[in-house]
Formats: sequence, C-alpha cells, structure tokens
Amino acid sequence: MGVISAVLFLLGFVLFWALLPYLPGLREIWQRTDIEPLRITRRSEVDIRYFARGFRRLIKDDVAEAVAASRGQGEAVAGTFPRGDRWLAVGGAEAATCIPPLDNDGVCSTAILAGDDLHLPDDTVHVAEVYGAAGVRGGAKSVYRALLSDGDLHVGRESVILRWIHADGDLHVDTGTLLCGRASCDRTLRLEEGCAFERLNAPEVVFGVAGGEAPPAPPAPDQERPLEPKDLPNKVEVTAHRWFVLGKFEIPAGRLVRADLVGSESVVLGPGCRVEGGVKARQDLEIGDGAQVTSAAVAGRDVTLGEGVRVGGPVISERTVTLGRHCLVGSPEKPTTVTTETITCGSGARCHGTVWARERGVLPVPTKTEKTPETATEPVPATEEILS
Amino acid sequence: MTRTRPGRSRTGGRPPAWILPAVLLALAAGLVGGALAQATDAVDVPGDSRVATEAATSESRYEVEPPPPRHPLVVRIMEVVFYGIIGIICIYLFRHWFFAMNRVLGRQRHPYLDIDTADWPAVTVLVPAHNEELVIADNLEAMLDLDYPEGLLKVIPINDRSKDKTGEIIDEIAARRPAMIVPFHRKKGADGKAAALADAMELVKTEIVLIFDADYIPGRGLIKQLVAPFFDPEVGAVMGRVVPLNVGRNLLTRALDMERSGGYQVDQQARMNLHLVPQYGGTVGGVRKTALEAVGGWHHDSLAEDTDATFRLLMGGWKTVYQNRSECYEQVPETWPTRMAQIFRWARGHNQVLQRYGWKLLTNRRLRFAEKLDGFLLLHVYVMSLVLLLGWGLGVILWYLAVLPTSLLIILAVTSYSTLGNFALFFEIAAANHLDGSHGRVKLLPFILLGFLVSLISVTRATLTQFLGRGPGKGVRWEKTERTPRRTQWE
Repeated sequence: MGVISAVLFLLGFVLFWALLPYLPGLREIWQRTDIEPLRITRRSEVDIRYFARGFRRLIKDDVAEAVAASRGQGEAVAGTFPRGDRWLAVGGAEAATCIPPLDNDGVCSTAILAGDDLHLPDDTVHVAEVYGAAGVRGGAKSVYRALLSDGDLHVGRESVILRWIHADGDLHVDTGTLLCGRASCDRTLRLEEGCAFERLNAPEVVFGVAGGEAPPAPPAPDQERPLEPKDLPNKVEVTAHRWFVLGKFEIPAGRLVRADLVGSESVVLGPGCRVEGGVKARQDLEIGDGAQVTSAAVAGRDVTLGEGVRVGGPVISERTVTLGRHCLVGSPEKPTTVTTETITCGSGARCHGTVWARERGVLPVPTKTEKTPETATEPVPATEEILS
Repeated sequence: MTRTRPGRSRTGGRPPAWILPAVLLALAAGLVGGALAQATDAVDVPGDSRVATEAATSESRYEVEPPPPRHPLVVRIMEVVFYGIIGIICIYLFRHWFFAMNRVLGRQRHPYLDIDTADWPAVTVLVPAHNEELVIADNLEAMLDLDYPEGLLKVIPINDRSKDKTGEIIDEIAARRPAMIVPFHRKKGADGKAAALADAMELVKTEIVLIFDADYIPGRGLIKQLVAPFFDPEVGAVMGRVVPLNVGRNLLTRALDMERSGGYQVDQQARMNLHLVPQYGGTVGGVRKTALEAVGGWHHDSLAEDTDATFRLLMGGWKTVYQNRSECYEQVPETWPTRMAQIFRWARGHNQVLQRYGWKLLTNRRLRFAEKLDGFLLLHVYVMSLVLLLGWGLGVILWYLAVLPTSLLIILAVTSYSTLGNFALFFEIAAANHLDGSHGRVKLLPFILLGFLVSLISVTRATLTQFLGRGPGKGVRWEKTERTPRRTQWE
C-alpha cells in the first residue's frame, strides 16, 4: 500500500467513525417520523370527573333507551357496547335485589346498568363499570372497577374502588374502604373511619363521624392589638404585606397577624391565633387548636392542623398533612384544595373542594377513647388486608 | 424590527462585578488542575518506576540531577488559565449531568400542580405585541376561550407602536368581549418589551399579572395552573413550559425543539426539584405585582427583563416556581439569521444581568449556598462561550509549545462539546426526549452540534462587543424575533 493510499484509508476510516453517529439522524431527517409537536396536557385530563363524564356519554350514546326501558320493569336486558364489552340493564325488583352475572372465575365482567335504585350484594368483584340512574347501594367487601350514580351512592364497608367513583347526589363510603383513583360527588362526600383514598372532590367532604361535637371556639384575638414585627424575637423583613421571618418562630397564642407570614424554617401558630393572610414555612408548619388562617397554609415539609383549625385557602405540603379533629378547610362559598403526598384526617374534619393525596390519604380507626357508642363496632381491617 | 435602547451601565466606570469571582474560580480550578497534573507526572508506570529509580540512584552517585525545564512566566500563566478553563467546564459538565440524573432518577417536585379548586383571584394577562399581525389573532382567540371565572380575568393586549395591522386586529377581537379584553395602544415611550410592560403595569389593578408573547397559544386551563402557585405567599414569579409548535419545518426547528425540551423538561424542572433557581422566562408565566414593585418593577433598560426580574426577586426573598406541566405552544425561529439574532439578544441581556447582580448575588444573606452557586453558574452561561474559545486557543498554543499532553485537549473538546449550548445540553436533551417519550427525534441529537456552533459564535460576538467594545447598557439594540405565518394546527 502506497503512502497516498494509506493516508486516504486513514482519512476514510476517521470520517466513517466521525459520521457514524449522524446516520440515524440523517435517516430521521429523510423519513420525518417524529415531527409532530409534543402533545401538551389538556385541562380535561386532570378534571376529576373526566372518566365519569366519559362513561355517562357512552351510556347516553349507546344504551340510553335500554336503561330507560328497564325502569320499573322486572326483566333484565343484555347487550354489548360498541367496544365489545357486555352490559346488563336492570330495573324494578331486578335492580333492588340485583344478582350480577358471574364468570367462571367468579367475577362479574358485565357492566351493570340500572334504571332504578340498584342494590348490589356483598362479596362481589365487578371488573366492569356499574351505573345507577336513581341511586346505588353497594354491598360490603366488594371490589368495583368504577361506580356512577345519578342519585346518591353508598359503598359498603371494606370495599375497594379500583379506578373512579362519582355520584350526582351524596356519596357515602363505609368503614375500611379503599378508594383508588378519583372519587367525587355533587353534594356531600362522607368517608368513615379506616378508609383510604387518593383524590376526592365535592362541595363538602366530611371525614368520619366519631369524635362528638366540635370543641368550643377559642376567644377571638384582640382586634385592637395585632402583633407587630418587632414583637417577634427573630429578624423580620417586611415587604409588600409580607413578613419574611428568618429562623424558626412561633406566633403566641391568641394573637392577630395582619400580614402574609413566610418563615425561612419552621413556623408554629399558637392556639387561637388568627392570621389575616397566608402562612408559609419552608420546613414544618404547625397550627394550634382553634387557630385561623384566612388564606393558604403552605409548608416545604409537614403541615399539622390542630383541633378546630380553620384555613380559608389551599393547604399545600410537600410531605404530609395532618388534619385535626373538626378542622375546616375552605367554605361552601370558597371551595379550595388540600394537596400533599400523604394525608391523615381526624374525625369530624371537613374540606370544601378537593383533597388530593398523591400517595395516600387515611382516616385512622379511632382509639377506644375517641369512639362514640354509635361507632364502637368491630375493628376495621387495614386496606392492605382488604386488597390481599 | 430593530429598536434602539437608551440607558447606561449601572456599574459606572467600575470593573464588572463578575470578574473577581470568575477569576478566583478559574485560578482555583487551575491550581487544582495543575497540581493534579504534576502529581500525575510524578507517578510512573509501576513496571518502569523500579527501573527509573535504580537509574536515578546510580546516576546520582556521579552527577547532580538536572532541574526540570522551566517555561517562561507567560507560558506558565497560560497553563494555569488553561487548567482553570478545563476546571470550569468540568463544573458545568457535572452540573448538567447532575440535573439530567435528577430528572430521570430523583424525586420530582410539583407542589402546586394539583390545585384545581380554589377561590381564584383576579388576574391580568398582558400580551406585548409589536408588529404581530401574523400571530396576534390566534393568541387573542385562545384568550377568549380560557377557563377562568367570569369577571376575574382581564386581558390587556399591548399594541406597542405597531406599524402593521396589529392594532386593528386587537380592536376587532376586543369588540367582541370589551369587558374582558382591554387594548392598550402604546404610542410613545422607550423601546423594548420591558418598557412596554412597565407602561402597561400602570393599568394593572390585580395582584397577579401573567404575560404571554403574541405568538403563544394558551390552553384552556393554563391560567389556573399558572395562578395556583401564587397562593404561596413566598412565590414572586411563575414559569410554565414552552413547547414548539412548528417542529417539522426544517432542521433548525427540530434542533430548537430538542433544545427547548432539554431546557425546560430537565434544566428548569431539576432546579425546581433541587430548590435552586428556576428562571422566569418572560412568557407563559407571571409575576406578583407587589413583589415586583418591591424589587423595583420592570427595568426599562433591561434587554432580558425576565432574567433581570428573576434575580431581583430571588435576592429580594421571593421564589420563582417552574410548572413543568403548564405547557404552552410557541413558534420557534425558522431561519438561522433569526435564531442568531435571538441568541445575540439573549446573551447580551443575560450578561447585562450578570454585570448588575453577579456580586450582589454572592453576598446576599437571604440565599442558601446552593442557590448562590446555581444562580452564579446560570448567570455565567453566556460568558462560557468566550471562555471556551479562549480554552481552545490556549490549548492549541500550549500543545505546539509542547507543554500539554494531547489528552488534555481531548478532555477540553469533549467537555466543551457536551457542556455548552444555551442551557439545553446533550445529557439534558437526551434525558428530556426520554421523558417526553420522543424516540424518533432523539436520533437528531448529534445535529445539535450545528446549533452549538452557531450559539458559540453569536454568544461570543455578543459578549465581546458587550464587555470589550461598549458597556452592556450602551448602544444595545432590542431585536424583535421575526414571526412566520402559523402553518401547524393543533387540537
């Protein structure tokens, strides 16, 4: 091989390796297989009622006549959706004592559609949707893929909802039930003790019934003597209606603050305080019994609300939220959102709007001292036991 | 359209504030690099060390070991600077690698994303428009369709001395919803987006102000998503994600699409995850009016009003929040000259902010060390082009002087290749495409080199003319990005 050939070979070899990474790209430029703009998230996809609306649309488009015809009738009508899934329309007595058709493996894979009040038996696994045009009463220890009711909806104890549940009226979830995915209603959503959930939305969400009456409200803070920045031992920078407080600090009990509070570390609001604004703690936020925050309560780690605390705006935490007994978040006129990784709800706590636990929300089973005679029943199994 | 901007450097005749820390950082990195290199030189291959030691011992009986050759002082300084540059580039390399790893493997922060129900506050949306007849109608039509409580949303399109039909189009659409769309026809005043925004702010009565450029199309729910973080009283600004719409036009738009993905999907979100310094980008975002006023409002003479506001808010104790899932389509430049002009303006604006706030950032007592470091590195992103070119030049000279081993040049080439490129870097782009599920376009990753070289030239030119020719506030022109008619539709 001559010198020129060797040099040319070397150049060609180097060029080949240099251009090799470009070959797939050149092919992509030629074929243009991936030239669409990235699909952006649409609002409808995060709407909690998105799946319920979709299923209702399916019923309206495909089986509305069959469901209407089933009202007051004792005879069931069967059919299939365009997507191939089976449905069974029931009404009258058939709906009142519905016996779902079971497959060989013991589960019901037929969508149950009822024109009248629907009562479902205990210990049944529904891997297809269930719909009731009037109301639905689910049996205990059952598993449902999804439940939709045009009226009220009751989920029996120790059940599991796998994807979503929605009621146009009230939604009552009995003890020990696990709600995976979305749960919503258009009136009052009540969860009993031992329930676990991910995402809830209703004009009023009530957690549990135990715990008796709400504690008496603490005396209102002195309106004439609001707290001033100089009253705090920490360094406080005041800008734009906001106190930026360096270090941990605590607002003394029963004091009034007319500002937004931001703490560079943890923040404690004493019992009976009132903050006319929002509160943010970069670490933990603890709000004492009976205190009030008119706007948002935000923390970089944990938010703990004591008994009877009232928060007017969103409760935002990057780790956990603990709602004390008889807490109130939002109001019927101004619904809001509680959002965090995990939520622990005390009995009697109420939220107006959305409660969103990205990992899990729980209502612990009350201890003996918390139980009232009405709820002192047998212990509720953990959700893991239910799922197993 | 080209605008002339008045104003002068805020540092007066003093040297730029960034010089001292930059030189210190470079020297420190250089010393470490030099020491490491010397240590490496001192260690021979184990097999040879015995022979070398024996030879040295036997020779030392008869003669004094000759001293190592000493280079002239100039060469030694060049060597230290070169090692310093490699050190700095390695810092950036690690930073971008760390961000990419954080996005792929780390815990993701979206604390405000799930706020879907709230007592929504009144909001004003500003749409600065200077000769935007090609795109303004689509923008305002989308505004009319926004999902926000009736009566709480006001849109102010700013017809900033347009010479085309922008004003007529705005008036025509505003007539359909006069209570919601309230045009502001700006007839006079200083040039530039910052000046237009500053004038329009006098019309704003709400606490929350969102800003969209005229070529952006907000989705129905975007306003609520961008407003939600403002419930946090510490938040001063919010930024959403920009998604190119005209991706398939040519190689440039495809490259920019990947750069944007890397910049937002990885770089911005990683900074959000790590509590660092997410950047307000001037569009698809907003500010808290009282916070902005507390730190001085929009600066008329700012070329990059977004970066300027980000750093002033940061130093004033206000956080900027990045919302990765608050996405909005934009049109990216379709020609290389437009792209170069855009980069040129960004570089000058960014460097202007560096000169004004670089030192103040480091000495701010409210900020954590990590925030200072990230902000400092962010501010120097555009200076890195110049540093990189200097490194290449020094590397070649030192190599010909037989001072450097070839391996260091290779290190410089590889690290700089993967480090620079207007935030959106190779690791980040690859990670972003993975996260976006874009498996076809990632094959174009090597072609980012083209954008990298264009950026290198544009940014270096901007930086050189800025710091060597004239002060950052003098003779700077506000270059508006040219639009092209919208060709792509979406759902």
